[in-house]
Amino acid sequence: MSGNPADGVRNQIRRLRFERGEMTQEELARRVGVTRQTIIALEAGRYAPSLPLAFRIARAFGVPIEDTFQYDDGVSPTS
Amino acid sequence: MSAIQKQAWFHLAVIGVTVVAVAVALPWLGPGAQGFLGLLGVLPLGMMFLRRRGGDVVTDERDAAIHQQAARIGFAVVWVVLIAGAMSAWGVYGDGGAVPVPVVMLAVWVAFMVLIAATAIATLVLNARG
Repeated sequence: MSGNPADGVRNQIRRLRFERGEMTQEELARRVGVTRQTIIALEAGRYAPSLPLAFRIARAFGVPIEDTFQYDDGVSPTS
Repeated sequence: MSAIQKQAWFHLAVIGVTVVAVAVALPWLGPGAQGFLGLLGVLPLGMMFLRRRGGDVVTDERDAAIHQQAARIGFAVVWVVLIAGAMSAWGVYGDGGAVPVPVVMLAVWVAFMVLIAATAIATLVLNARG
């Protein structure tokens, strides 16, 4: 765990939950195999998920992983 | 509250009760009060918070990361306490002195309690921070 808990990783979990019939944190947690506290920490930007967990969350919403998680380290992408 | 938070609070409660029991018994039993350190034998019961209940997720990758970091912090704290204790013994007993065996045994128990308590506190703090 680094000084910046989410390590520059942002997510759209909360928005995607509400767009899918107001899915509860508990339901999302059960679908992806984590505790509700982890979902809470993810939505608050206090925790960056592992790659497998990020993929499971994206699949739970039926969207690409890039639509669920974004990485911003302040460096512009090369063209 | 997550399973590892409940386990951390349980550990802190057991250590707190043990320290109080030893402190209360010390005026009456003297060195025999160390017998209350046996209360620490209840600590493994903390594992009951981590038992699987049906298909529920009890711990996940975040809990594992928190536990790992908390254990590192716990060992670091114990190391500092042990060094401080050794230096204090040098100051109390001097160059030519001898540390009594009961003091050495007590130091081992204190180090164990500091490890469990520091790990538990680190678990709770890391859980709150994310």
